[in-house]
Amino acid sequence: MSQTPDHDEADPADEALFAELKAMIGHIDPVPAGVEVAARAAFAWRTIDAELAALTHDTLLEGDRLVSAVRHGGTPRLLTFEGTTLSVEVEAVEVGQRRRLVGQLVPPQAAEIEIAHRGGEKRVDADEMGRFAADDLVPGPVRVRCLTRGTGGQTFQTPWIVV
Amino acid sequence: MDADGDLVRRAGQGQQSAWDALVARYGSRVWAVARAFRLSQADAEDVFQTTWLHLVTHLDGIRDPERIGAWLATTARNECLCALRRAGRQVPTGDDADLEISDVAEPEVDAGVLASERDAQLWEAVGRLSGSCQRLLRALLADPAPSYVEVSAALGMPIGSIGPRRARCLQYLRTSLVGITGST
Repeated sequence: MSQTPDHDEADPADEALFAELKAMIGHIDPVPAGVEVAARAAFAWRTIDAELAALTHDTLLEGDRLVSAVRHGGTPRLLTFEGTTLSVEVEAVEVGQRRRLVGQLVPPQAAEIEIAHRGGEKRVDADEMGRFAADDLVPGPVRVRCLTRGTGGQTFQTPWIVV
Repeated sequence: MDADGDLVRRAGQGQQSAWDALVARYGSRVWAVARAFRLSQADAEDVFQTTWLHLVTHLDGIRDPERIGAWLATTARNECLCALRRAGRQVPTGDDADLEISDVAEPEVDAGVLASERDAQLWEAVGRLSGSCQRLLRALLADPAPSYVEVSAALGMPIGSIGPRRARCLQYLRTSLVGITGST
């Protein structure tokens, strides 16, 4: 192990108490087994062929807004992802216990869209105007991949975002 | 044991076993960060999952693979701050070491798992600590233990303050325990 805990205040009584705390946490709040399984399975989402777009705007992270629109039913959360030649604007909407994404490719163009989410992978088409929508997504991390159809069709994907 | 940097490089080459070893080594620490921010079970699970998905995405671009622990801690922290915003909770800016995150959901604990009387006493005593002590101790209570570099990255706290704060929080905890049990 390259990193070890720093015990610069090694009072034996402190360390005994700390060891008891650690055992307690091990009993009552371990990493849930299902969550760890999902983290191992996350490796399957590795892709090496796609350009990673940057999240350049997210209304959730704006200024001092404290209340998320998505969770509280106000204006929808808007996100912008930019790549070198393609951008996508996405609106995330809460629909009951599910999420809906409405997207716009810039510049507008047809494309195949793959949306990865907890429930699997959903494929939809972006029309000639670059518009697409996907319903019934499971809340949690999502990622949008775009496969454009023009000459030299390219693949572009967003980072994972929790909606 | 394989060095962190080797595991990151091998995972970057597509080796699932190296990835699994990273999850096994750092899973408890990432979970501890989510719990340190006192996220609900569902939000903590989102933070955990998203942190690992970010690592999958960035495996080839990690600048210093030997410091993957600090990278994961920083990434988990950012996801925790997003989760707090989604939940409509106050989000700290800058050094939040003294911030009391209010209006929080306590991690749900099933009374059945507090089978040992000692665990129940410790749990009650921890619950009486300040929010900042609870946060620091929870971040430290991972197995394997996080380095102070990682805890600093997770909590946005100067490295040099962690040891003294830890000692103070344990002192408060001992005092609190005396009130609960009559002795430490």
